[in-house]
Amino acid sequence: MKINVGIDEKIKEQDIERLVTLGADEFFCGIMTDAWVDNYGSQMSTNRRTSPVEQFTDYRTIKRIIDKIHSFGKKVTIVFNAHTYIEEQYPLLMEYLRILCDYGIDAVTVTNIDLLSRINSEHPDLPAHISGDAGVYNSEAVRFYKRFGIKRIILPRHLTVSEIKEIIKSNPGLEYECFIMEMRCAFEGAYCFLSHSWTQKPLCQEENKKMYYKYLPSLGRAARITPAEHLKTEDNKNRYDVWCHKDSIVQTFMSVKDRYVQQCGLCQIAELRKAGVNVLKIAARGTEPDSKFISVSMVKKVISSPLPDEKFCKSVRGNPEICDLKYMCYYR
Amino acid sequence: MVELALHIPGIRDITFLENVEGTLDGVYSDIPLDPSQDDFIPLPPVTRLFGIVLKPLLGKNLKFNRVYFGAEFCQCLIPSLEHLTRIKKLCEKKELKFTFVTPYVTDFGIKQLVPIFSYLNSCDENIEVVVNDYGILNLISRDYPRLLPILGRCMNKMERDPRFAKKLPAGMIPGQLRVWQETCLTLPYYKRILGEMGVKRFEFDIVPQGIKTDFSGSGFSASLYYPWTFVTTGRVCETGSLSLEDSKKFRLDVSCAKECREYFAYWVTPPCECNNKCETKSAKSSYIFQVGNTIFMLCEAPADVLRELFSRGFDRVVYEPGLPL
Repeated sequence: MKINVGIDEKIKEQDIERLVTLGADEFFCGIMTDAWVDNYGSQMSTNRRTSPVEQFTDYRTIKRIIDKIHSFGKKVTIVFNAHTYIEEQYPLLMEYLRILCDYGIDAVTVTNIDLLSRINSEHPDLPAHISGDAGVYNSEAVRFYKRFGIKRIILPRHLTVSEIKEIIKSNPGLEYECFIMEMRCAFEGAYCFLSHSWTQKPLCQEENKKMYYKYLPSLGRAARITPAEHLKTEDNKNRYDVWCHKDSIVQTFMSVKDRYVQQCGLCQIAELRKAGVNVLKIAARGTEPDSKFISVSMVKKVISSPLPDEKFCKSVRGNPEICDLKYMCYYR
Repeated sequence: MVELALHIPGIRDITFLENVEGTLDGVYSDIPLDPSQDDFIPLPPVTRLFGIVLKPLLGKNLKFNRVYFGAEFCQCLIPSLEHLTRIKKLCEKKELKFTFVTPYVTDFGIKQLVPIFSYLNSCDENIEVVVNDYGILNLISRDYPRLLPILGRCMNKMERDPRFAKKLPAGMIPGQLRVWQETCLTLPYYKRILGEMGVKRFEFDIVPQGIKTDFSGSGFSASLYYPWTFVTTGRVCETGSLSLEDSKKFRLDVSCAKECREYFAYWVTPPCECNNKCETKSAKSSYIFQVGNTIFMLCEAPADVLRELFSRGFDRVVYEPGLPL
């Protein structure tokens, strides 16, 4: 199993060396230069990450990093996984691709089938990966994307291991990548159309007040809930906020390491391997280099272990209370 | 001519269909949408919107001639074949055309849909199926040639944010607005690929920033869902965890008790962090609802917005009298 780790402008050449030493096999990143930002702002990102520190913003830096990655014999994928591009954006998008192909980029990750078709037409030798945000939830969706000659499917976050197993079994011959760390959300990238950049927090991360009501059988009417129902919904909401990793709550019981690592699926790695997953994704674009180092080393430890059972994985994670809570897990 | 369709997500909402004539002729009181009031009744304002917006706008064409039946956002809510046939028969009795609505699904969901597709494929008429998953589109296109796939609103990924329902973000530049107001579905490869798979209709939510797409003469037509705009969804369900023990909450592999059929939540977003001085303060919408795993905003687009869209190839309104889950 390979480890694919997200990188960005905060990463230095020596950090790449350290990540490779720790076990990183592949890297992925986005690019959004001033030419794009001047026309569309960073909010209308090329790659669903809207902050400059979550990607590369100039050609010189990204070329240096690509060269460094290649010097270790490792691969790098460029991510253009916005849901929507409009026609006037394509000249710049295709310019990015031409330049990055000249730099020797190894693959491209996409969501949008129009962009995918244009890449196939202009860069037929560039392997394409289908983004987790494309929403490949079933075997038929893999068949849909196969018509584009893709090389890899990145499966979405909201699948169980047994569902992943079924998809891969039905469609052998492709590479499959799964999320293993970071950036989990209650809402699914493929079907979340919220803007994440115009306000300090996206709607789902705001401290929203939620008031539950009950439907009444008569047409369109609602009733207030009982005090007992109120307590039940409040307890459920508090737990949901922990699951959602709301800062105001988790800061009280997360260690520094847990704040770096957050959600993980370490204890599912063995099962994912059995299911046929080839690559584990650490969704680390925008995180601090230290966070990337910790994540890669933890995942590598589990991959390399002869007995990566739950006990071992818990010891790698180093906070059994977090594991026992079961609210910081991928694939549960 | 604009077609008016009624969306019934599940059998629970059969009363909307049974009372379809009443919906057309009802009297619409002006009840405010204010949860602080003791008589808070969140859904009648929707029928009020029907009365003050759609009714005058459609005039003599005000007649439901189609029913959408099915859930868009959760495979746990896929109806049984028995419920589907019951609704379909009622539609036939009322001389209403039938469209089946499907959610995004895992392989388990596909297994539930297959008998329904087989039944619909064997019906005398060609039946529309709204697809919100490319896997379902692939399946229909390959195995059920008599069904007519429609690309559902979950596949039309225009950004939206209820907090900008009344005022767009300050400092938005023209290029950003152009991207925000367009869909990618009219790009050449989308049209070619989806067209080859039998798609002739795209479905839209009415997003706060407006829609600039023009389908006139494109070979495709478009529907508008009204008045509920879908915002976000996912398989992890807060409401569906209400009755589960703590360690089983928010998991994908644990069945829920379908609490979304019983409860919904009204969201109030916090006051703006800039102490109410920024431009977006007035955009804070209080009309946000969580139903099961999905968040909706109530979109109160006025008649002129709809009229403009009708002139650009949007020729169907999918009216949702209840929360659409």
